[in-house]
Amino acid sequence: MPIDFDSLPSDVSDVLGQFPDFAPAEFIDSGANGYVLTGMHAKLKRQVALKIYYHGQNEIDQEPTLIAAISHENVLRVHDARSLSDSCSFFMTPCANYGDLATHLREYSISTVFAHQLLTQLLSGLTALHESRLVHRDIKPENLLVHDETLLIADFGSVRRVSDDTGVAPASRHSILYRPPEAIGDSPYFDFSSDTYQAGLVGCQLIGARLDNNLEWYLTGPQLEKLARLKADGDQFEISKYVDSCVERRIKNGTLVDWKKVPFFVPKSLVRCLKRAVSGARYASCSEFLFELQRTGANMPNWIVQGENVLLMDWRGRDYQLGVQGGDVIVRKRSTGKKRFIQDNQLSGGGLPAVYSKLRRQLGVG
Amino acid sequence: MVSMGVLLKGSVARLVTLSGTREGHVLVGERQHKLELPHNPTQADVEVFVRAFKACCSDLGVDVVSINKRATSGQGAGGPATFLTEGILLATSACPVAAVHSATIRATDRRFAGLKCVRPATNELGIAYDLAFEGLK
Repeated sequence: MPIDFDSLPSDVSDVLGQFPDFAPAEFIDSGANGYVLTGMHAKLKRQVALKIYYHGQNEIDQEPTLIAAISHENVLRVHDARSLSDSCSFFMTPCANYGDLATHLREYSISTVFAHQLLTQLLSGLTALHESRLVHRDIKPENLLVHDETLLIADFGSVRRVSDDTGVAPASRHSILYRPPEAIGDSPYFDFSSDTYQAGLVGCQLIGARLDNNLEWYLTGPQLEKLARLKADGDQFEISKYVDSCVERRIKNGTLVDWKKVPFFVPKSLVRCLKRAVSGARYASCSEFLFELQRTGANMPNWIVQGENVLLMDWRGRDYQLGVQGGDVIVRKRSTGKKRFIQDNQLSGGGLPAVYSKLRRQLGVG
Repeated sequence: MVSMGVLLKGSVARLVTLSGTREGHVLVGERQHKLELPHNPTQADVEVFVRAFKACCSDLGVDVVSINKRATSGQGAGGPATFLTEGILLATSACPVAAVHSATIRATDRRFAGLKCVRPATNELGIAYDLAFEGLK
């Protein structure tokens, strides 16, 4: 949809006035404290994004400085940064062609191998931040970008330096869902393992575990009843306080992620690794997490959900498609790269557990 | 300084990282002790291997990496998997990588065996420790 330039906020028009070579194609105003414009840069001959954001007058505008200091293939780069006024700044970054990971997860199905790759890329990028003694504090799909097959860490508004003395940074008040247990309570803090916890939550979503942004989804039956009573009273503050407290309890108990929703084909070793990443005994550093992931990734079967069917891609030169027909699971196979599937009668028939067990036994699918 | 010893044996890399000096050092990153490439690795497998190795070096602040010098002939000659793993480390390591001959380790042992105070009990990690010790000053 073309941009209506007349209706753009005045700050956005001012920014565009400074970049005559930039031809905006899309205007995004869904951000919490600013806007994003994407479009073509005529001189650079590439798609770029302009992030315009607001900050306190006396606040140190650190976001572009932090990004520029880190050079890593999984951390968003910055082309240019300027201040528009005391409280408004903007910077230019490359544009990610698949948008943010949250949109990507909503619109596309992600294979297990690709999910594994994205998670290792996220941890690799986080290592670069941690090397500079920075914690991101707001790792979530909305703040991660996908460009081709590369994941980029973005949105550095919450980044803080970890104290050399204490090894911790103040806790962020962003996104309650992604807040680690140590960031809740009377003396909240963030350390490097807090980022690995958030990366673990992203990993859970990559493999198909549900993490709903609607916080009421996490409430149990009795909690929903109490919420209904609070809603009847109509005190919005009490309602959100109660919902937050219920979610916080789940975070502290380690019951935020519904592991039963993880698809059957996700390797158990990967699930175990992610369970540990979001547990109390979590990985202390990104490299520890990466080492474990590296082990789980060897010979990982590459499954992907395709509508009603599940496809195992390129397993020893063959693709296997599992679909339900008349209550039974039917397995169809083809040589990788060919178009037509043929039914495999040996593997077909029975329920999903029986068929998957046959696949494991006969094909060695882990 | 922080020195990492990497024993390459087939597609397995055993890692031991030491922080300090030859006279006084401690083991660091004890959980990051093994990396393994699958047989016939894909590009994705190699990428994850490299990411894990680089992240480990970055997290632990490794200054120097010592790997075992691969024998080129005779019974102990390294196979194709060792060759591949060594190539990956040499091509991607952000810190300097030195190949250490087993004879050098034996010579160091004769002079400094008493300083090797935290040598792991297992054979392969022990050799990785010896390699890391070579990198210490």
